[in-house]
Amino acid sequence: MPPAHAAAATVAAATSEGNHLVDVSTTTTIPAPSTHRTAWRPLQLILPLDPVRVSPNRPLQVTPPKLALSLNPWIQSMRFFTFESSRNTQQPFGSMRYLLDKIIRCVCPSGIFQSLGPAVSTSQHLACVTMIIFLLGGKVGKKFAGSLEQIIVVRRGNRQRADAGTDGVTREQPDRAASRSAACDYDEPRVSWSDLPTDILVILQRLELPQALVFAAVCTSWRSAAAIASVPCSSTPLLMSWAHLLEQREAHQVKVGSAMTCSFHHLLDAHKSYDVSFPHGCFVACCGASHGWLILVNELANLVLCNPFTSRAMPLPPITDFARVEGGCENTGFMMRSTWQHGSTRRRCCLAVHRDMDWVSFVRPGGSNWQVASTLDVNGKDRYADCVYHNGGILHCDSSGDSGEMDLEGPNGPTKEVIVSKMQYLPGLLTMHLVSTPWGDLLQVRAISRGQVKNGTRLQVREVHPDGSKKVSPKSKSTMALKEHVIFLGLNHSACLRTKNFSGLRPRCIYFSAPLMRSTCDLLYICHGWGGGRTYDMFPPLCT
Amino acid sequence: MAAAAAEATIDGGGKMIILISADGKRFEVTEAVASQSQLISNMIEDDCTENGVRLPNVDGDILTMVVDYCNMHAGDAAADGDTTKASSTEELKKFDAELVQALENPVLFKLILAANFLNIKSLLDMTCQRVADMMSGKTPEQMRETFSIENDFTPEEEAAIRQENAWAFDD
Repeated sequence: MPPAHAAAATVAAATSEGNHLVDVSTTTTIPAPSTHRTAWRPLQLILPLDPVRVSPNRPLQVTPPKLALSLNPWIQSMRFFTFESSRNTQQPFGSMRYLLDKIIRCVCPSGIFQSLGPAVSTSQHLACVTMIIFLLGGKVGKKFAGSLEQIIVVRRGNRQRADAGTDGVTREQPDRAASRSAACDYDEPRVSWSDLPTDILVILQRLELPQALVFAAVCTSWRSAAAIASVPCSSTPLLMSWAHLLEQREAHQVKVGSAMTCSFHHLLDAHKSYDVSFPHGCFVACCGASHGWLILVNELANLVLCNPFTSRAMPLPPITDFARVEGGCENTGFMMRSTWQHGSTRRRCCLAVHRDMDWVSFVRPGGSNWQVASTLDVNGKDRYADCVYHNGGILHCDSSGDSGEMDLEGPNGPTKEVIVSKMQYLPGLLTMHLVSTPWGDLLQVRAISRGQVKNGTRLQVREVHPDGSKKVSPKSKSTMALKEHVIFLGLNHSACLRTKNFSGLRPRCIYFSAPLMRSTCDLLYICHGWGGGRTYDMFPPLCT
Repeated sequence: MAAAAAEATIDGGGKMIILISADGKRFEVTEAVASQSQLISNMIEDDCTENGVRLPNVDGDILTMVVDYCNMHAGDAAADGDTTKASSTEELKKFDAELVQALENPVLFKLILAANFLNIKSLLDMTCQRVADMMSGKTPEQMRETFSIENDFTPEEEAAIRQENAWAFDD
């Protein structure tokens, strides 16, 4: 069991585009990568300087959003965004490609797009999309379609059902019944809200998801009503979409500082959705999810951890604290999540990959600023692709497939130790994820472009061992275990969950929501059908 | 049928229908008013309202409120041309808001049941929204208190729910 009680994942529901085979065991010749790779240059993104917050050591306080907005030219420029809603289409989650199409047309000519580095990880990718959108807001006032989606997967805890101790139950029951009848004697018998007919409990449909969950926990009859109305339990994976928010924002339908409402969609039935409101000024963009916490960008362009079910928000130190951020400028390629926890709260931390994915910084609860954990050579081609908490340590991988372990608590500051180092160039690599599995293995999932074939993206699952990473062989322990598990990849903390605990999820699948972002137009054209959400079968019939 | 009812109202005549509550109180309303209830509208269609409509599930007090509500809202159900009778939307909204706000718990409950039984969608919507508003921001325990619901989960069930929702409830 991983130590995490909750994991979050960005993924998407199975779209009608069907499954795509995962190449687990075969090798394929991958066409030479595009030549634009070297044309990469860091892009300066001007983040707003919050005048209230210049001193990095100042305790975190949420400034009233209105004030922030009026001081914040960057946020104001965001109003230019236009998003076509994906809700009107038959494929609610498949519309990222339209965004990409539009980006190709609108952005590439202006040269903005080329200047973004190779997207080595989904996280960076979506962050990039977000960034691009921000930038384009002011520069290109044209219509974009797209949806930035996110799934939250909450791990179900070790649920100890009552059937474990039947004797205990039977012994308990008479007391319970007695107290129940006693209570009934005192109550006015005619009015009992728990007796509301189930069909009236459409009240439920007016509740936002957090309240619906509370509703389901009130009494047995309400619980069954909630079940009929298919209110998910809080551990159900959900897909979060905020495309409509951007649309509303563009249309000036959202008042400054008003609460934002996102829809959380059922993974298997996209038409079932639940609303979740976020506190005022808290939600400008979502750049990650981990262990049940969303990582939001607030109206001050600061990062906030937010529990979507309780609306509890935990502000993170200002990103102007990031090393080398001067005058409110930060390079793009910024930001990836990973909160991890290890038993006590003291060992929790939040990681961010930033500075073109070259730097990893972290902050601990109660910490007042970000500390640099690890850096890569700025001039090298390597970029951090993912970080994950695994077997008591933080492991990272970079775009060349190398892996290492970081020790944030070293006596002389954070240190890192290389586990796998081959420094090989991986052609066609789109994204890379590390997945810590419940059975103790560390998997690396690579999304690789297959070149000219449309939708020719394949996922490759590899095991990471101290002696190097290798493909999962058909008879290994991981292969056997994966047949009962499902992997969620995306902007989120990668999660590997047992399907038995989540009815309806298809086992042996990778739920993948990462859209694609690449420095070169050719590759984008090749993979333009890729974005949105889809499932990949890890064991396609041909291979079994 | 709705059109017919509307016609009757425009003519000024309008067939009168007698509603009889559980405790025997009688209410005389026009067909247009009564047919806001889908139940009664169906009965009118089937011509079985001759001797008054008995509503064994609805108390007199509650029926008074329902009839008041229907009288106020007969305007929007009736034809648009009937401007003299139609209340202004603002007035209606005010009336609705006052009605809903004034409702005490048991009355609200009964009103929901009545609206459900009589199948008056707008009233049901309004009252349900009121309940939803009452629920917002509450913990399960507070909900039970507000609605006087007894916790009928077994301790095991409750522990399971608690565990399942530990993160959502943020205990």
